[in-house]
Amino acid sequence: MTAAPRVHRGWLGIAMLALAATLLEPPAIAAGVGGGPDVALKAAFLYNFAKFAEWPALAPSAPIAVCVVGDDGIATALVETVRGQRIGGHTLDVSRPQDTDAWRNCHLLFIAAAETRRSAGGLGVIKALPVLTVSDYKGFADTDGLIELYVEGGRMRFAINLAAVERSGLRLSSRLLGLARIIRNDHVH
Amino acid sequence: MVCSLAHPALAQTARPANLNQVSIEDLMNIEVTSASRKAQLAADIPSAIFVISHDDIVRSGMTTIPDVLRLAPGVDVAQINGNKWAVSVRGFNGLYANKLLVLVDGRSVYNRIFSGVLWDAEDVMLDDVDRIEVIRGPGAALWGANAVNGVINIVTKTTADTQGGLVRVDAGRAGEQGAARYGGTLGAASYRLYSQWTTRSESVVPSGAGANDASRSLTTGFRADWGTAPDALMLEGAFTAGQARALWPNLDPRTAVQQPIADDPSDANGGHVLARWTRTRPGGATLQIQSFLDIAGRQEPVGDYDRQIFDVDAQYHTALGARHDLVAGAGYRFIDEGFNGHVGFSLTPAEEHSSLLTAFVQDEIALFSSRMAVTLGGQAQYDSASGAGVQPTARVIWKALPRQRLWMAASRALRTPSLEDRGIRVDYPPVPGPGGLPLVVSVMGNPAAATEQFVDLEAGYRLEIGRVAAFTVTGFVGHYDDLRTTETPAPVVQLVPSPQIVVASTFGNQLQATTRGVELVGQWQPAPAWQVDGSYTALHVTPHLAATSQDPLSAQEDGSAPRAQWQLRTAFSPSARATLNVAVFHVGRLEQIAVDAYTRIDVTAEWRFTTHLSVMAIGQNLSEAAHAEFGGTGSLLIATQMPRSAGVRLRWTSR
Repeated sequence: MTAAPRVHRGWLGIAMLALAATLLEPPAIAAGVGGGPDVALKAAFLYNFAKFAEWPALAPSAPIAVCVVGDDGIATALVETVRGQRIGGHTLDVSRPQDTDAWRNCHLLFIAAAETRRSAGGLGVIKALPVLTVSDYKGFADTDGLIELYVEGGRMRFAINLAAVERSGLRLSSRLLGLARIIRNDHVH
Repeated sequence: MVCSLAHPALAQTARPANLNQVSIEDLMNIEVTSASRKAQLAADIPSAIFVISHDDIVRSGMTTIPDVLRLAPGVDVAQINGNKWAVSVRGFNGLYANKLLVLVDGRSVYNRIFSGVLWDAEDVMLDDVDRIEVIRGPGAALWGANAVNGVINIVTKTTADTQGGLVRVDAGRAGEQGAARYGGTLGAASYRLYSQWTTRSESVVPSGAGANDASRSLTTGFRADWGTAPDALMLEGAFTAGQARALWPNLDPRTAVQQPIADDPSDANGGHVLARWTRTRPGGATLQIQSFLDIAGRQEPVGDYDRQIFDVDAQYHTALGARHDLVAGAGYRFIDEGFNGHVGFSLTPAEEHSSLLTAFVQDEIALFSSRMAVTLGGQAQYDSASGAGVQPTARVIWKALPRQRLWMAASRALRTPSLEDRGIRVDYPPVPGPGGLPLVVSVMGNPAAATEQFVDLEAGYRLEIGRVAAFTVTGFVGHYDDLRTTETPAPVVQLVPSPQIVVASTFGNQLQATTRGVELVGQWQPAPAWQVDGSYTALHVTPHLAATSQDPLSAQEDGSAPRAQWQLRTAFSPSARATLNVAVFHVGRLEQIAVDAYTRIDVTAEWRFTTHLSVMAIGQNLSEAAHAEFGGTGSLLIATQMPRSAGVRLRWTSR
């Protein structure tokens, strides 16, 4: 076959490209999985979750504290999304807490997929507090998380863990529950 | 886990840069990445788009990409033999259907030697396909040349969505397929490794005997995703090795017997690696840089060919002010392709290096408080093999009422001449002719082959009725110019070196054609666990052959496509454990190549023992013992018939 020697040269090329690609982006810089063009969409979902949640003992003039962990892109997009917006008279205040101790002060807490496993301890501490925890980590709502964002059929979907919601003392509107995949205690994901 | 049966809903207005005014229901209908090279509400795309979902794919029981494409309205899928398919949209179908562009995870798999997609080489593991986006109508303004009649985007899941193990085994009359995947994480990266083994049984000839066209293939690949916004990196690659038999016409003049070649298997090997880097800037603008290397070789009875493609492509998406949403990009592709023909076949030049430079820009302009959007865009390219070209589009969508959309589009698209168009030579073996003289027929390419041009007008209307039903109607009129013809002058009697009659055909570009069509698509979800999908497509091709043409066959050109086709599918889950899926596909007669109409019925029934283990019974082609889907002059290969088949699938997932 006359083609054979050229094919071999090609495979060398593949190896070179693979090598170049790994050099292009050292994995050490990266902080998690996902991202890309769906950042604005995730931010918009977070904004909507805040709209359909009710926090006990939220002072009328207090801002809703929205915390983002492990994804600066979503934090940036969220600042744009909530700029000038009010939910029931509350402004929204986006922050990026540096340690898990600050999580208890969040009303809504988004934890990027890559951070979830490292922050299991932090989640355990706040699970009985009215913190609306959201993550795009697969299986998040099967454990202690309240809302899990996931992609299905090219569209963003979310699952809600009812037991975790009840434990937190938060109230979520029926409109939100009606759109979610509901996970109950006795249900295996 | 009842199947999620989501409609591509019609929704309130939305522009990606300003999502805070969008209802959560409508957020759930936004395509996360999309056919318009940016995230957008599926219903707000001013073109005829249909998305085959992962659930649709799994329920269908199908094991190949071309078969799965039967699920999309208006896609004309015809299986030629046990391992080859003809797939097109809006006509001009064939083994090398040259007006449909296909991308797998952003990598074009359109073959430039023959102009078309070699579907048997696209051995994608369907378990990890997230969705298939099918755009009917020209997409050249975004995707470049050869996206004339449509664009198909096959999008696989990210590695975050394919964690854990999966093993699937299919076995039955149609063949066997085994697929295995493992997905894990490594530091900040997640990955998957997969492998798929397929054997396809032979199809049948009209007598009912086997057609000796069994095939097998093995694909092994990986994908890895690193990083989170603002940076994300994706790296994926795969290698496929396949072997197939087919009934090829025998062109060997030494035997001069018109018996098909069956015992000469074809080998097809190929591999690719692709890297994509995405950076999201504060405010949501994104920059994406993608590069791939794709190498393939194939040894067939008619010749050996190989190709190497290197491609690099960048695109930027940003909002400009409150009204404009801009996507722009540029790309470079280097193509090295060669063909070493056997008995009767040759290509001149036998090897060619070509370069393709492309640039595109598209601006979506919101008007009247976002109740209307006008999209203006265009692609310019320079192809070292066929010259420069411009492919513009203008589209408008009117969001008149909350649940209704009306859109119109005018576009121009080009089909660039392939190496085959320019330099093929086929010498048929001599046959006894008039007066006992040998008749020698040959067909030759045209070094000056023209680029085919297409101008298209489309309009569509979408209506959503509550959240339970959706209906779309699309109409189009298109005009093709410089379509390829086979010009056959009068036979010539040659006396030297020995007396013979010579018929020498040459490719020309002497055909124009007008196509008109209507596509109706309906979706109805009477209950959360019951979905009904239906579609009807009518197509009419009117050829206008130049008076100077000597190609009588082209005067009857009908696009090798059915005048009408329809499908009706229903998926029902009586319990969380069971799903029953019935699909009926009707394809009208292919007049010019004389293939009868057929109705194909597929039934699958799945039972989930646990969330990890399920079994599916699969019945395909149930209505007839066997039927032909393609044939005659529509393909170089000898077409065969597709038999009824039954099989079973076992599927295990670790989570």
